[in-house]
Amino acid sequence: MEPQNGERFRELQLAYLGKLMAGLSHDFKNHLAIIRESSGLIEDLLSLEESAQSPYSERFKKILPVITERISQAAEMCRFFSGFAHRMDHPRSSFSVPEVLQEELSLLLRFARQKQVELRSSYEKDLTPIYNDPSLLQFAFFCIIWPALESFSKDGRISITVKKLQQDGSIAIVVKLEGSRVKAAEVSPWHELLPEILHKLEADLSQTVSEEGAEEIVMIIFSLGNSALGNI
Amino acid sequence: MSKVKVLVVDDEKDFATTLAERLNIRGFETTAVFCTEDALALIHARNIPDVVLLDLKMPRMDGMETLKEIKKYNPAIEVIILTGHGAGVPLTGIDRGKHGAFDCVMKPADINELTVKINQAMIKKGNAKI
Repeated sequence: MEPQNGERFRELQLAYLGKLMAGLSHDFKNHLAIIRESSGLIEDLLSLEESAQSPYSERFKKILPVITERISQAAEMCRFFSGFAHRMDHPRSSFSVPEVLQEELSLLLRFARQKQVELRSSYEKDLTPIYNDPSLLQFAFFCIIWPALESFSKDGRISITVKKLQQDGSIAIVVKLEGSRVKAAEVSPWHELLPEILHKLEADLSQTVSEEGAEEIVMIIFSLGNSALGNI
Repeated sequence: MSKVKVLVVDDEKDFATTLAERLNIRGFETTAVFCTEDALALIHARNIPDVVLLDLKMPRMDGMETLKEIKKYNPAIEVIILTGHGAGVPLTGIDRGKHGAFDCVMKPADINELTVKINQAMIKKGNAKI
């Protein structure tokens, strides 16, 4: 394949992965739907039954809400996973930055738990959708968050804020790292990819390091400029 | 007072039959079919449901085509789409105004949410029976 077709090749490779992941999450939702309806039916039938007819009915009534709760959690994960997979359908589209980030954060939560790092997020309300590459933005976000996660020893905190910058109307993703870190995130190979990704996204990145007591605080501001804004 | 007739159309048999049974417990008169052809055959045989719960992705004829067929045959039948499609992504093609679906519910759906939607669809028809 010619070098100029390399990008198209990678786009199709991503689209292929996205399609398979989307299909998988769709199947999972169907399984969850069947489990939910089946446990719901047991609950319905138990509620129709005269009380104390079965020695286990009280136990069933305690177990069923646990199943329901787990199904709800799994369904929520599937919802994010499905959204994440579909982001690869089109290289460029109009999308909500908080939604796109939240999909990815939901998939990173497990890793954060393992590292005992707290992931926090807050999003300004009613942010204008942007027209850009959602999948590439998620990758850029990963290239920031993953090295940050790896850099903590434990008990760290990563706070993500998305807001509109008043001065130029661009959307900023502010990542604040707090806690003791065993290595700098900047040495990660993921971090090295950022300049090329930022160029493609027409985005900027700035980083400041400050100290509060014995704690080092790193602020990474990732801003999507005006050229990337606009409703399509 | 006659019961609200609901038709569940989903190729996942276990899902369709269990959901139908749960709706029946809640006072609806529910039938489950597992393909769009059977759904259309039932409707053409003048066994007209008040509300159809329709899966979006099915083999052969998908939910959107079935929705158009149902509305063409009888616009008074209200259709609620059940879908496992991803969140945060526009549900391309589910244009309520254009195709006439009453609403769209994500799978796995909550039975109480579905019951509310069915009753809202009946209110829209001006014919709330429950």
